Amino acid sequence: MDPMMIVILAVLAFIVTYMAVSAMKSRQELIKKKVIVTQLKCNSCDYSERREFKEGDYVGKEAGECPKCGGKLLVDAIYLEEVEDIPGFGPGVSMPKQSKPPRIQK
Amino acid sequence: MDGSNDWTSIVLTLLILGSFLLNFTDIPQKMQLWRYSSYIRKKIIQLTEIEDESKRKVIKYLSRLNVENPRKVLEGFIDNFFMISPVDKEPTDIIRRMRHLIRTKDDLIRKYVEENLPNATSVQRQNAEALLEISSTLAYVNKVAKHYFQLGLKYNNWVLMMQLALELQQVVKLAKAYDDAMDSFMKGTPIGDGAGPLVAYYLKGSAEPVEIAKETVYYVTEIEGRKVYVVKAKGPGSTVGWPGEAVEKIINDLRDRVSRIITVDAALKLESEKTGEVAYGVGAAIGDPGPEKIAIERAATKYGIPLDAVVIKMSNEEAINTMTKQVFEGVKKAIEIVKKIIKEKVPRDGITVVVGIGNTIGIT
Repeated sequence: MDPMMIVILAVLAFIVTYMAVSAMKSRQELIKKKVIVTQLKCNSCDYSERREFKEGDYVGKEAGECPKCGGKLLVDAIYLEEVEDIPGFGPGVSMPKQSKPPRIQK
Repeated sequence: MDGSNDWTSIVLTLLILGSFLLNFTDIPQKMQLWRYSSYIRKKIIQLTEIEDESKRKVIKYLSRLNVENPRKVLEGFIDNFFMISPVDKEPTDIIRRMRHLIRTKDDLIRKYVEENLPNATSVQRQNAEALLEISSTLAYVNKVAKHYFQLGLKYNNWVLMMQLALELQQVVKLAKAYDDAMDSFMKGTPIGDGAGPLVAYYLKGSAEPVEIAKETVYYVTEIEGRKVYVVKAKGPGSTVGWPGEAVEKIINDLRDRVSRIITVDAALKLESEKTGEVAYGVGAAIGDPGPEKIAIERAATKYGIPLDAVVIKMSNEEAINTMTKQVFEGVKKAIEIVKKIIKEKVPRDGITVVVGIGNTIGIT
């Protein structure tokens, strides 16, 4: 085979591999799904819960009655969380980890 | 006849001719110009799409508020309400002049929004102001990019094209972040820049707000056995308030009874830093053009009050979009640091003023 042809084929192979790797990387970034979480906390006891954000929520808003003690349930925090995806199963398969929210010492 | 020698001489001839063409003509510059201009054209198309998307969002939000002609309201805002900086060759009273110009501009915008959204609540109007400003900024960025592009083509300035091409990657990314941020303002979620007000919200406990300056409130509470005045903008609408004026008023009332002023704000992180890292230092942690910051510094200097700064690190994109979990974790760390400063550096009978600087959207 002509050496020039070998060089051309090698360059083409490199370009195709590079484009394929770049496309794979950008696809991996697209998979991450984000969800806005609203954290609710009771004014009187240590009850807390997390749910998806609803329009109209804001930090400090009264969000109903505490199911544990009947006290005031307030929106304590609102933030964006990344949801981990199981590869090959598509977005939205798992939910954010239910970590216990820390108590803010008054 | 040796075939390889023919090929070698052809290649060599081509190389020498090519070298003459490249070194003694402007073909390389034209090639660079063409290369960079085709790249810039694609980026400008992206910027235009982002600008159009932002306008659609504003029109959608205004329509939800039953505005009669949202497109007209938007077009009346874009390209208007600019502010010309005060003369700095003569810096005497430049801060007073700057404050006057900034507040005049803010009042003009407020009146424009009030006239066009007469039935909206104050929170909705504040959020609408923010959306209009973002859309106007994106339109301006697009115009500037097109200006330099057309300038480069007009004068065949490939260096200008190269500089523009190298900058545009970052500019488009930032423009996309601004466009995404509009969703936060439409929904009313707290943004990264709200880290300071969120720290203030958690510190104030069950205290009731007292309005001290325009769209700015303070709370009187107790932390670690010390009296603390907590200042923040009045939420949950999009506003930064006048924290400088608020601190000035509090310090002038309390005078030398104030032992410490602590400002808490979001700060831009360096590329190697992690979002949510918290650092503390000295000074007024506030990113305004000057009037509010200098008011805090002057109040502290007048009575010799130590001025602490606590900052929560994040990127530009994270500061303007919905607050991420990492920033929220940073807020929790910042609260502990503020409490530690109060406990270790403020005497029992001393008073601390804690100022949560930032946009208070989504935070009451």
